[in-house]
Amino acid sequence: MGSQKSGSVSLPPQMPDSVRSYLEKNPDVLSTLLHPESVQALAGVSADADWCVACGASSGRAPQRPALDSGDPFQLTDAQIDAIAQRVIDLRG
Amino acid sequence: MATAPPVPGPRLHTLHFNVTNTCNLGCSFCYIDAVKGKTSAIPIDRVRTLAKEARSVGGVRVIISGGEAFARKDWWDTMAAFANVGFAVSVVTNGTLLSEATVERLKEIKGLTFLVSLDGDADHHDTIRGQRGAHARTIAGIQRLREAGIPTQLNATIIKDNLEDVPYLTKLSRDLGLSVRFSLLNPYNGRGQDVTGQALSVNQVLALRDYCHELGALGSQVFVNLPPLLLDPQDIIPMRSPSCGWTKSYCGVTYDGNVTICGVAGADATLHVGNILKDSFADLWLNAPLFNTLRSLTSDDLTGVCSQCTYREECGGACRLSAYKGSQDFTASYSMCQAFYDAGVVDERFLEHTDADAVAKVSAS
Repeated sequence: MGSQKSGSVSLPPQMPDSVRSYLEKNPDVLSTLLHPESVQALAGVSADADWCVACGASSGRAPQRPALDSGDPFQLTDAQIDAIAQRVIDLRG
Repeated sequence: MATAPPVPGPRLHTLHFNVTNTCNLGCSFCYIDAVKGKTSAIPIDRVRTLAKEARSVGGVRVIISGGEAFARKDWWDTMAAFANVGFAVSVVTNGTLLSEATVERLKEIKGLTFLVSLDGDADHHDTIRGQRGAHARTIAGIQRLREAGIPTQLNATIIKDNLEDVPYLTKLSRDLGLSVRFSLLNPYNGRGQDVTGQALSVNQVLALRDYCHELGALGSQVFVNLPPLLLDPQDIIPMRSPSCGWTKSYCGVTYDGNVTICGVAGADATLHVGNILKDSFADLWLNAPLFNTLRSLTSDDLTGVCSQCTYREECGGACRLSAYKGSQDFTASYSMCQAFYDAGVVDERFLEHTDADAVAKVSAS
């Protein structure tokens, strides 16, 4: 992707370790992702990742998403979740 | 794409197999137009040879879906047919038929992963799915999968009627320790065409995106299924974002044997390239003219906003089926990205240049 075409650009922190390691060793693979060999190679390190952006019916498991700041598990209360939803979704929907 | 190495030949990665068109529920937006009555099904002996053929041309992963996969009486044999020849098996299900005995049998199949559909609280889920009590049975099925240690993700299709359930699903994700993917209505296939008014507005999609971004930064495992151009760069995960591959590595087989471009294209007969009840799957995969036409296209052939997008090589224009269904043109821009561009809400940093006349409203021309 555009922000990751160079190997020097940091990769998203929520990326699975196996995929991160592969991309760090093969920084050019993102520029050829539609090529079958690239797909095969990436899928080989994360075989159960999502596949199609549109159909929404193609995956068994997503990469885990640790907290970006501390790695602590998600601990928001119901009230905190509701407050974010009200601020971000309800006021704009 | 200009920088890609030569393509050595079409090598299948993922096969999406709709094993039946029968479903015990009646979802308002079913992309495959499944029915409650009995439908034809590919005999299990042909399923076994299909698995071997698909493996012989490179297949490593199969997506088993329906209808409802567990509505097929020989569901175990169907899944085992692929697992036994080395496929990783991903099952897409509504979860209502996952009894204790069923999950116990699932444990015998190695490498299974599950995607379970759950669209909100009991009231909204049961209304959308067309059956009272469906929510309770789905939750029970999810719990059984968790207890069995089978990797499971939830998928919620978010429409106007259940947008308010996003917080509920976030709490469920937290309490179950499972990831929840928010998908958007597919308005081009099956019964999705009948409920296009339920599709989220641009503002609602942006709000859902920002909500997932904020929650994700706090450690939540909820995320929204959008093409990379419409995501915050921090939320882009490469394996979550690439396109279908334009049949370079992926195709679908319908419940009645038709081979088609992907797992959600089955309802469109114009996209069927042959039938495995008459033809060799491997031969169709390797030689179908439609497949080879699609394979000859590259991201440089994309038009509209996709032609300017810095993610186009990796994204590939997201869903080519949507492009085709919307304009009869496989190189048309992805309609959602085009709509967002036309609305002026695409981040210009991720467009190579902003020749508005060249990219605006191409989908409408």
